[in-house]
Amino acid sequence: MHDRIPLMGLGTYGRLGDDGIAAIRKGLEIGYRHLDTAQSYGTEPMVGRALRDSGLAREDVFVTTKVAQKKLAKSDFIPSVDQSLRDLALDVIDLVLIHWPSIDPDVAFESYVEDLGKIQEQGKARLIGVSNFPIALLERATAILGPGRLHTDQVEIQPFLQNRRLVDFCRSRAIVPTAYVPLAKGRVADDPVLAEIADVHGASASQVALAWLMHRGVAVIPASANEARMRSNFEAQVLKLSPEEMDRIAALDRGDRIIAPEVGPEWD
Amino acid sequence: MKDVLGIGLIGCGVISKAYLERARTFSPISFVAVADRDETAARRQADAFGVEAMSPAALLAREDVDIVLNLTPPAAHAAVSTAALEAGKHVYSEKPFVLDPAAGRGLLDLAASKGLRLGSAPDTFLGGSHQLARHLVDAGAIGRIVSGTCFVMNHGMEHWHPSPDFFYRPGGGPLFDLGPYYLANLVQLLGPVRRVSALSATAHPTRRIGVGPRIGEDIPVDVPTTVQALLGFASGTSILFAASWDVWQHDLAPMALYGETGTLHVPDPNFFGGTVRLTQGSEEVALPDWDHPFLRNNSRNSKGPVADFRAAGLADMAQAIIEGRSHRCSDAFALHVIDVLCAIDRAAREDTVVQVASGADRPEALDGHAARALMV
Ligand SMILES: NC(=O)c1ccc[n+]([C@@H]2O[C@H](COP(=O)([O-])OP(=O)(O)OC[C@H]3O[C@@H](n4cnc5c(N)ncnc54)[C@H](OP(=O)(O)O)[C@@H]3O)[C@@H](O)[C@H]2O)c1
Ligand SMILES: NC(=O)c1ccc[n+]([C@@H]2O[C@H](COP(=O)([O-])OP(=O)(O)OC[C@H]3O[C@@H](n4cnc5c(N)ncnc54)[C@H](O)[C@@H]3O)[C@@H](O)[C@H]2O)c1
Repeated sequence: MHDRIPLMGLGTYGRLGDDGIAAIRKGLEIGYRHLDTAQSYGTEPMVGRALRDSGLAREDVFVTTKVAQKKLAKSDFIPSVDQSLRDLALDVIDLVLIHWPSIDPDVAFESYVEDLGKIQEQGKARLIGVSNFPIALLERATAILGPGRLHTDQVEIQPFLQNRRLVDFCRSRAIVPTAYVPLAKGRVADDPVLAEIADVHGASASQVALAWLMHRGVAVIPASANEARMRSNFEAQVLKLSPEEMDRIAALDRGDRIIAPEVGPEWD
Repeated sequence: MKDVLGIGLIGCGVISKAYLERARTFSPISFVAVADRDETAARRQADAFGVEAMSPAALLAREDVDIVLNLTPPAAHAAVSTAALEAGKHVYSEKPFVLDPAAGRGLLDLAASKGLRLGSAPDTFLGGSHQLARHLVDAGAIGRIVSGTCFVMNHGMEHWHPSPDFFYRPGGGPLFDLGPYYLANLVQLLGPVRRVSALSATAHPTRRIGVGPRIGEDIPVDVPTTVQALLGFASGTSILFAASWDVWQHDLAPMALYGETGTLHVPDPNFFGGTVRLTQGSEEVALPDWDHPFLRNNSRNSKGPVADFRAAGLADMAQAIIEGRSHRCSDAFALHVIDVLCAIDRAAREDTVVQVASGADRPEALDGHAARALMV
């Protein structure tokens, strides 16, 4: 049983259908023990199916899902989690997040944050957390739920958008930051500084980006449809970067946000 | 072997501009000559695009013409393509490339006997949106596809085309003029059609030209202008298909596929782009990342910006000749589409279920990477 989110996980966005099931299955074979899905990805059934087909014990694999932004209203929140449980074919989900804060003025922040607490109390989620919450909303949610309840804030963190204020804030509250698009959608592979550091270690630029995040205590959920890249991303766990190398990567920050939908919040 | 093939265009009418404009989009093709039985038409396009104008016979005699692009009206397609093949040229034709399957088989045999390629529009199924739909179907994103609906319905062509006669003659009508886009996309997504039944009607015996020098002239209608069909695919999928030029307004989506685990909404296959939507169960879900060059709006039509990569099928055929692989808009694929259209026509006329004799392999998918390889 994982009592916290594993630092290495597999993103499942886009892994649809039988091909998606096969790819997630492959991820489990490679050794991934954290699968990141969401109601809006349509990949919950694929995660559930891959998990069952893998023959792994339920407690060995940590599953995260996210309640969709359009399911945050009082009447939708808990039924949507019940649907996730059915789609994943699980009795309990390891970690349930709010995917994006609501932009609907008729859906009160208090209401869905309370519902998030409720699903944990009802035993539908072992751990709860949020995604795409800036510091101000983390503070408001903590005021409602009490300290120590939020396990993670899943946000974009990658070498070109390091999100340092938010990462430091999470650390100060024992919230594990989780990095989505940790490979900047594959763009880290083209960065010369990362490539130079990688060369020294006989590694790849993508592995360096993932190792840098994990060294900072940030959980990562890289995604790939390709077996070799899935494997190589997983193997980033053995890479050890020096403090000087960490500093060189810190200097790559240029505020390049990749995921910035209109429905997003005011970022830090 | 060359890495760019010379294109000789025959038929300098309305659609020729769209092809000539794409010369700078695709790397393996270069226009070297244009011809038309109407000399002025040929000279107009030659001047506009800086290529040589000549007679069709002179074009066929040109050494530097590797592929003849046949943009004549449907009734002339077979004769022009035959002459080009006889002259030793590969041929890429606008749709429908023949008016009946027998003529099509004759042309396929002629091409095969001479070791030449024959290809045909439509190529919109190579568009970024339709290839995303293809990717989702192949990944099993909606499971086995049980059924679907497909509609192309409006009020005809005479209000915008200056010489719309061919639209209302054999080889025209909504079935043969627009049907190829919809059938080609269905066959690339689902595989071949095995049997069809259909009903058809003609609302008006004549149509009045609405633009150009012949404005106000009435032209005869010799084809059904409303066709409703049920298509049984070899895969077991059944599709309800309606094509009409007798409809002023409707609220039906162009194409939807209903699978065991969800629904896939496919945009209008008359265009390369448009919005794909996917549900898992009844809930709409996010689409996977899909980077494809044939999605970019690079043109405008009356409704606004559109992605228009017409000639993609021609470029793919040129590249296929260079690489010695098969081409996607192939003659066998086009022949199957014509066979289905003729089967629908016959099913309606004879009030019977018609078996479709030909089969066809689905053309190979064209992902973003493969599409970029065709571009300058
Ligand atoms: N909470 C949220 O709002 C949110 C938002 C976005 C994403 N996410 C989660 O985060 C996960 C990861 O994000 P993502 O998939 O968008 O981006 P990502 O992991 O940064 O990048 C994935 C892209 O990089 C390529 N790639 C993977 N490994 C590579 C390697 N070793 N070398 C070179 N290229 C490589 C992949 O291509 P190939 O597949 O061809 O390898 C894919 O195009 C998602 O799956 C999802 O679970 C959450
Ligand atoms: N107009 C469109 O929007 C459109 C779109 C897609 C496909 N198409 C297809 O393109 C083809 C041509 O359509 P169009 O709208 O350009 O027609 P059009 O009538 O405007 O042009 C056809 C041209 O071919 C010439 N021509 C006719 N017979 C010939 C022959 N035997 N030899 C040489 N030249 C000959 C005519 O003089 C004319 O200039 C048709 O098959 C049509 O289905 C048209």
